[in-house]
Amino acid sequence: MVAQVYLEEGVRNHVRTKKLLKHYSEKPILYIDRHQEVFNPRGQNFRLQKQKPSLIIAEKHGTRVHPAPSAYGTGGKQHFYFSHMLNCVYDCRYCFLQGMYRSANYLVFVNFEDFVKDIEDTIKGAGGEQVWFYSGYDCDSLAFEPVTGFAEFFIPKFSQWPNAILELRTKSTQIRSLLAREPLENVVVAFSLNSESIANKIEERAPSVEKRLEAMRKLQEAGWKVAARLDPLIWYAEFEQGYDDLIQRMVEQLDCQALHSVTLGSFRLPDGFFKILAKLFPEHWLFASGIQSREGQHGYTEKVTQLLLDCCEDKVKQSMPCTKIYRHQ
Amino acid sequence: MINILVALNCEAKPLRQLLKLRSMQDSAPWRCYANDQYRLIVTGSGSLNMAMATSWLFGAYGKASLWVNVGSVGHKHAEIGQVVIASKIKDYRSGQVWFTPILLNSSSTATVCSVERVQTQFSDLQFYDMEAAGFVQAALKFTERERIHSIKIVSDNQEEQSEDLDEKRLLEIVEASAESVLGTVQQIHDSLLLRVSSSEVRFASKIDTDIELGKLRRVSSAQEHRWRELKRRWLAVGWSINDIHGALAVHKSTTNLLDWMEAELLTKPVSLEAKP
Repeated sequence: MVAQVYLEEGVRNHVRTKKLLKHYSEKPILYIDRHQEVFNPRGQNFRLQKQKPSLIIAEKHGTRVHPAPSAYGTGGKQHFYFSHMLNCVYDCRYCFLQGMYRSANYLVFVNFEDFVKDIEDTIKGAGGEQVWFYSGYDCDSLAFEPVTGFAEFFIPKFSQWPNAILELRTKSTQIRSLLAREPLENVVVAFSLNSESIANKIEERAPSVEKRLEAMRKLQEAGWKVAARLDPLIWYAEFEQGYDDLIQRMVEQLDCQALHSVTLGSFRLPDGFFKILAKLFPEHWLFASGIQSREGQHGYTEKVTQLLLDCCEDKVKQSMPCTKIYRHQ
Repeated sequence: MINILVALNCEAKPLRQLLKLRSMQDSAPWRCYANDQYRLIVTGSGSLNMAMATSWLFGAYGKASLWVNVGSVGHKHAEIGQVVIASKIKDYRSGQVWFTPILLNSSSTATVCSVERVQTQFSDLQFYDMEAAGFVQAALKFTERERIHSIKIVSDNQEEQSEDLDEKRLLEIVEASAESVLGTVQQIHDSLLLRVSSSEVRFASKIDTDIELGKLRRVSSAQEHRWRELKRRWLAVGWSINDIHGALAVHKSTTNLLDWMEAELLTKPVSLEAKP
């Protein structure tokens, strides 16, 4: 899964580095001064690199907690995100990370304690207001859990911060560390779901929809708050049937009354990212069908966007009348 | 095409012979040899010569699927004839560092430090050469890291110093390792080919061979640009190029034709039932 390990000299003896390296004892280790030497320099091909990425172990300097982009949130007023890892082990064709980074290598930051301090400072700075923290913006929150121990470390911290809410965004079924502990009221596990044909065709290496629903059900049964993210909704000839089936399966397999929320969003990317992706995958239909540029974003036409969102919103409302719906476009 | 860049004639000769390369008869500023799959250039020693020749090769022949610098290195105690792939290349003078991805699991990798003069004092942490830094720095201007590799053969160590190394001895050393070097080059090339999906390759050949609007009609450069993008999208969604042939007869104006293509792409969704 990982071709080689690049290790920042400065974290060579970090306790978390040693744990990480146990998973890759047979891989060659190359020492670097700073992750920038290998992570994002010019002249890299994301598509080629994605086939066999390397792992970079580093320290996160500078800003570790960022204000979340507008329309990112699902509640509250103050929204922030933090990323203990950059890049994802899955290979979803629509993912904006392919346009954001030149490198497909997995970059893992080991100084979790510094993140905790910055999160704590952000909470203190909020003056008692509720603050949302999102993980899963630059990576899948749980996909690398057995290697990084991210959730295992961060979730207990949130038990000390009742005013803070942590949302873990994921497609992963690596939920063992959550099931092994008592659920927290202020942690939401938000699973991205798509129709089966979209998941099969363009969410490479990600668990099947069936497995994701199973993980959601197990978490619900254990008392965790679970949310569903139907984002990005993809426009294709059979989309109505595809999303209808998905919502039916959600109703069958989940306790929909207890769902924290359902988020709907149509496929969209900033213009710059879209152009990179279309260049990386010129043969892919996703970057060819129904797409136009509007207000700095590439996405479906206004009409198609509304059609997709309305159709799915109607279906969710019919099947899960009590569920809170967030709509992004 | 695989480009191999070698500093010295005596390093190039065994590779040339094994690959059965023919001398290229053009007026190149460097000696060049080629066959259907490989192109080899003898650059002269030093990073500057290597960088100039790398840039010239790109200017003269354009893109290649792989760029490989093959050459000799010194090391404190590595065995003469040992073959290593550079995973980290350092320029001794500037301190600049480049990392090249390791594509082969089985290969022996090394840090190669490019120096300006032949070394006799070695650290045991790295190998010493005179060209890799110039090569990687130049090649990165026009191709991707994954396509740039430096394969080195140990020619001298503390026991067999470079002062004792003449052309004849170097030729013998390279000759003994040439097959292994070329095997490694081929493996790297195959590994890259595996990474490029078959759909990408098929699509590239399809888009190159289908309709060239500029040959059928008079088109402005803006229209040509729009046409190329719409044709890419048309083929990407899996629609037949024959539909465009039909539309060419209906839409006499190029703008109308392009507008029609765009409208089709915006309003007709792709069916996933037919997609593999």
